[in-house]
Amino acid sequence: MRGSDYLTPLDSPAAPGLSNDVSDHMPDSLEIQEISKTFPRAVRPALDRVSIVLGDGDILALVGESGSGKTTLLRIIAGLEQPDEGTVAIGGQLVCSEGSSVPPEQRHIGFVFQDYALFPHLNVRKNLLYGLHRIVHRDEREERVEEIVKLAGLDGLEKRFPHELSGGQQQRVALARALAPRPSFILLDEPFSNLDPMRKDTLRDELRRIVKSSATSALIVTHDTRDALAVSDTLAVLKEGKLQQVGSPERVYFHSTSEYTASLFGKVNRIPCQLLEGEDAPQGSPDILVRPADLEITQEVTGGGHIVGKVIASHFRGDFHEVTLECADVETDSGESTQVTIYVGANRKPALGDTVTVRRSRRGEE
Amino acid sequence: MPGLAGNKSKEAQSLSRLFTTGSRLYYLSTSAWWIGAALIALLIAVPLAVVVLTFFDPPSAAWREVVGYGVLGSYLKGTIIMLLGTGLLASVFGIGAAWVVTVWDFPGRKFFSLALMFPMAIPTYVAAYAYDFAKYELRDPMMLWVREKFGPGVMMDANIVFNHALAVFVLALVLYPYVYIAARIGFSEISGAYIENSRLLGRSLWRSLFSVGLPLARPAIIGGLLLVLLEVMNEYGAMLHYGIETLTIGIFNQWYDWEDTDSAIRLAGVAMLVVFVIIIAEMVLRGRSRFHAHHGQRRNLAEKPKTLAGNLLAFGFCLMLLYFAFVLPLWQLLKLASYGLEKVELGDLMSPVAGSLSMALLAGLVILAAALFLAYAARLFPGLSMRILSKMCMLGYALPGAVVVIAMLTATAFISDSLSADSLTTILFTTTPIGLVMAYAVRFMTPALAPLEAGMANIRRSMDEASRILGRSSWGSFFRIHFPLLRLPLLGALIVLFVDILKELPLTLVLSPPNVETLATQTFGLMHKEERFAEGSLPALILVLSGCVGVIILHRLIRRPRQA
Repeated sequence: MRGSDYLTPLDSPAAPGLSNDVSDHMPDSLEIQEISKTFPRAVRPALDRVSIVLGDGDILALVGESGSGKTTLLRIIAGLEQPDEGTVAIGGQLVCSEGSSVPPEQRHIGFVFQDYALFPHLNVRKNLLYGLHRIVHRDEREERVEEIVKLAGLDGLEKRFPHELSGGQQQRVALARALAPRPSFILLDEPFSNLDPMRKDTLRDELRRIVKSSATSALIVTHDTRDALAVSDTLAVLKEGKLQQVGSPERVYFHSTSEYTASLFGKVNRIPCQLLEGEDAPQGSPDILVRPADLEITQEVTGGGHIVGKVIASHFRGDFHEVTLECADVETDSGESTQVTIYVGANRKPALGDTVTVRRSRRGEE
Repeated sequence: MPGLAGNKSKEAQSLSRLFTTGSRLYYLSTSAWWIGAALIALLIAVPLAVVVLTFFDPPSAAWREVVGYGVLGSYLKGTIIMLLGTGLLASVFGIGAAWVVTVWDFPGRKFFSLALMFPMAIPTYVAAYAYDFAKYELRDPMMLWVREKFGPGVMMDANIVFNHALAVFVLALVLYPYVYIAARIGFSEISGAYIENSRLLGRSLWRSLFSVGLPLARPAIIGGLLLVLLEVMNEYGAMLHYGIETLTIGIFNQWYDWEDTDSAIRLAGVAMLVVFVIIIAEMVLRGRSRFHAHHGQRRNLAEKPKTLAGNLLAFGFCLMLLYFAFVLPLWQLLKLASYGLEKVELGDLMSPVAGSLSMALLAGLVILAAALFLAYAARLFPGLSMRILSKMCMLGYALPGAVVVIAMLTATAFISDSLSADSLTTILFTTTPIGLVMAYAVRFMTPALAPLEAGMANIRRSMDEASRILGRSSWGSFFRIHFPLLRLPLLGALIVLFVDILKELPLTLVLSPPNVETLATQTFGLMHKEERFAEGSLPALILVLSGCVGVIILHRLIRRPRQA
């Protein structure tokens, strides 16, 4: 069976690698709709009607705990796994819908595997050449390799074999290999999990730079929310196969729509509150969720909107102290006193037993 | 869905769904691969099925006689004595040698740890011929003594006992390396970390080996022992030489001497049953204890013996074993060959050497190609049906060569009859070696397939997926990724196949086209049939030498660090 049987007439050879400068009606790089998948003998669906759009040139991070279905979604997009329901369209063309599927080798996408999957018997240059077999002329292939080597900062490493590279270098080769054939977009499966924690931040920023300067859209799957916040233009949160929230990193972080999402991205304080006159009652629980970063110690003790608590624990975290307060006068429903965590600058550490007043910081109010 | 594939792909998809339960990869061209694998499996399984089916036919008069006159009983008795005797003695040699080499750091340890594998290189029947002197130099004085002590009445029995004992001894000497290698891997690779832990918990090395090492190495040792027992079931040349009636001998007796095809097939069925029992016993003995827990690096556990006596004991044991299992038979062959060289024109040797080598190479490559196909098919579609197919292909290795011979001939005759094509047997076995290659494939698919499957398992799944996503087809991925990455297992498998086929006797004897001589058949013809030991020692020596080369290369392959 030849691939052309599966491709729509619209899928011209020029389609892969098109970038945002082509037309006003540029279709999205990737659009998945209502994808559902249940593995045999599984209790709940791995994916439950998930829809995501990856805009052209965008970097979208898909965040979730292990088992949330994020890798399954990635594999479905790549054609390595078949969904039970739903459709996948790449560059406006359906590649997967009920009963039919374009095989992975004809989808023109890039994939950076968690273990990088560099071919151990090929050196860096040959790894990069591997996906370029569709380019007929040798010179053009070489030219593209040179281009991508420069882009990914791999100069001087072309002759090395994968086992002779550091983890960060391997990652860049994997990324370069995925980008080399000018795919419609690239998928990255937990790209940061195998990196040395000391250098992870640098490598992460480097990855973003490479992807951005190649003008390719990317979908990154990660369980590390810090990575997701730092690397993405758009964040999508997946929980137990269901999409929780999609939005800009700032929006998802500071305006989480659920307690799950809020706590996924960092510590949150749950503070029981009484409604002041004139305020709208929020729906559901009368508690509010506040990030420690949104709280600050204040000298103002008059007026509303502040809490008084006693310092019961303090842990040094490097740039700041994580201070836990016990607020005796803010009681939960069960009548216990509430504990509130705040971050205090390293030079302004309160002593154990001190009583401090805390209010929402200015930035948090915006 | 505009433009998306229609019915064709729907069919393909449902097919692939059917065959890829639990698979992670998704492919559309399943059917071709599956059919290919099924064809190979059928080619191997059909002859065996014919034997099994014949077993359920109503028994013929001849078979009733074979059973009634105790012929079957004596075949069974001989087989069981040889299985128990050789199994026990080979275990003592193999475990003992592995133990000494693992525990004691005595002078020459490194040399012995490799050299003790070499007896493997001597084909069993060659060892039997090389030990022929024992019949005269050991038996005759013994028989004299027996006659003086117990009178001439017991001479017959004493002679039979002597022959059995000698056969057990000789077979155990050349077969123990299977147990030795398995036990060494068991001691050092699997349980090394546990033994170290046990010593840290305050037990001595010896006690640790008993309480941790042996139990953990047990499954590996039993695996090695299984190979020994299967070799004993397969043995033809040596049993014939010592006049021991085993099932394998019985199959040939009934077939050739009595021209009683039906009984031969039924005996083959009985032999299959015995093999089945052995395999079940192995599974029961292993139980659930298939420890692969710690496949860590090799550990060097050895300690220097504290006393001179300890040193001498370790050194002496290894030296004696190596002397009797390898040096002595080799020396005998060399002595014979020095006479042989005067009688034989070296040119006469060339034809069987060339025939043997090219036959082994040809058959080895064919089998390897089939195994590679099976291994890659199983890689692409890791479903239950593929697992069953590849297990089916491995069946033949457990069966004695004699059973495979009978199965091949019976199946061919059956197919010829039903197609009324008399020429099939002629084409397969008389004018071309196709039938022989097929028989080798039935018997030797396992040594080809097992290392390839292990090699495939070492290639991460993401390699396949990365290659596909980078736009290569399944065939393209195979030639660019899997084939180059499988170089080592392929080479290893080819060497094992080559040596196995080179020394294979019963299949070659019966199924090779007339006027095709191999080293094995020539050795057998000269040494057994014509008792021209001097001339026969020359092809025998070539067999031993090629076996040695195989052992050395295998040792290097095992030693080579695994790919990252």
